[in-house]
Amino acid sequence: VNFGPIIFLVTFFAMAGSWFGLVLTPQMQLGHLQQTNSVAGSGALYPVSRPGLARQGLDVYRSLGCAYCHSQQVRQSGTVCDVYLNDPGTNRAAVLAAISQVNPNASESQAREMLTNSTVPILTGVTRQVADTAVKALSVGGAKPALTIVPIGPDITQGWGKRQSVAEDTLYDYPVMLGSQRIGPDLANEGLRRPDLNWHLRHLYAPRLETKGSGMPPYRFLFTKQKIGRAPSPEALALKEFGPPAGYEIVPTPAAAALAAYLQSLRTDVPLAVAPFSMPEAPAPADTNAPPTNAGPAGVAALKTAAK
Amino acid sequence: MGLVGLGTAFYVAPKLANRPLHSHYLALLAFCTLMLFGSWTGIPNGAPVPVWMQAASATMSMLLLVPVAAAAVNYRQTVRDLSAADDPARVRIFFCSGMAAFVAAALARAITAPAEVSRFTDLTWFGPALSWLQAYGFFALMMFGAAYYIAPRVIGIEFPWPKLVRLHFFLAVAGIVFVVVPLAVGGILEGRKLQANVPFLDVFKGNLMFLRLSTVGELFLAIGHLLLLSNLTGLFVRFYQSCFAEAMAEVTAPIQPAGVKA
Repeated sequence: VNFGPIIFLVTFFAMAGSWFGLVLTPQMQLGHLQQTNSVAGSGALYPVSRPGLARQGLDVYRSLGCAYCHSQQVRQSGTVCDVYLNDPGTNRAAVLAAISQVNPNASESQAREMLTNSTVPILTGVTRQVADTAVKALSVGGAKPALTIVPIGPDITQGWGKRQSVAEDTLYDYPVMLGSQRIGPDLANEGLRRPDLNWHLRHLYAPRLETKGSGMPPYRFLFTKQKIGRAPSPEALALKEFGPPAGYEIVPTPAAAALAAYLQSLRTDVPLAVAPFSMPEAPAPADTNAPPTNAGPAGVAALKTAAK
Repeated sequence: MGLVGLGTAFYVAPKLANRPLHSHYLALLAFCTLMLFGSWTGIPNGAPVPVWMQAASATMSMLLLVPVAAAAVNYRQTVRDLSAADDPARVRIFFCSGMAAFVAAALARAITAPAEVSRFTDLTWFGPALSWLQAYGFFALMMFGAAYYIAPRVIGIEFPWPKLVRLHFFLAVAGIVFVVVPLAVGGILEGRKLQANVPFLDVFKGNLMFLRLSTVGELFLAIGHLLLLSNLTGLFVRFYQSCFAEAMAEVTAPIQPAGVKA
């Protein structure tokens, strides 16, 4: 039986089909992505490319095979809405009535707390529709309710990120270190969770110094042990345990410094139109007129953009 | 790898059974659909890529059951009444187990394709378990079977220790079971714990016993490799011994003087 031509045709179609589907179409969909200032509310550009040392650290990260044990992708299962009261307004009785109407489960003292403390949510984990209705009901007597968007999912609960990872986050990274397993924790927001550069250096030198019971191998070869000269080096690690003998100090090599800078640069903390989120408005310090740092309605604007 | 493994099975099975392949059209269907669907799979749910790619990939993973079923039926029908006399070394068990692993891996992939299930298995040890099942349980077993089937026929002498072939088979199967089952169970438990927001360090510690068990399995596999190596070495030693004996016989044979008729 001569199947040659059929096999050739099917192979050709299979290769062409998957190329169109998995190479060409994603390229058309994502290839034009560039830095945008569509970050809701702030006008900041996102993403920004990593600083030079951190860019070198990506190569160290790659060469040490960190991606075999650490993923860099946060997944989310959806978003819910919270409702806060930013400003109780002037007609407290009407707002209090509205609160007990919106959230019948709240006791009177709880309702009073919601009225005065803008960090206590009136409703949590509700759908957009419910939240919108609540905001409308609470807008009485000059009160200013705010609706915030909260991504949910186990990765978010673990504290690995504020929102899901999207293609935009990795615009300037080549290669992209998504990882395929979580033998260690996800690192998509490591710089956000642990902003201390020295923590990273100590952790690379002796993981169990910082995390008891950690399974990460120590990367001692990224550091050099040297005799203390006239004065201790300013770069030397401050080690409580696992320290060198007296008269010696541990200093990071350029590779360790680059890797730590890279880990510090890992942060996807900006709400995007494709992945919105917002945080409760922080109360402004009493003695200044500074605007609140975290713009509450930012995510709302993002959601509106996304809906268009 | 899937194509090469299947090709080996479809090459050896008719020879073992001493009859043509059950259906050439079924084999063609298996190969074609395997290429069509297989090249789309492998994009995990929740990855930072457009959602339609994940959905397409999951669909294709489920459609892969078509070529797998076609190949399995075809193989089964070809070797269905293979007698012990056709296969004295019983290398067929390698191919049968390899096909079983092929079907099991495809089933597991299809079951864990939808996002509702894959959130328990993605980014856990379940992924490596499936890779082991496909790369070792299916592909390596096929290659071992092919080596045990082809090498004696090419060289023209039997393996010096045929019993070690059986032993290697049992070690390989035990090794695969010991590697794949703990990793898969550990992976699912890991995924469940992460979904239930157990602290990460506890999740990590919970995996350690499963990793130890899978290391035992890898030890079995390594011993099996040594058996294959010793059998192949023995085969070659025998081959060169016989070559040497033939050459010596030629050299030491009494020379017949030319022209003298006995």
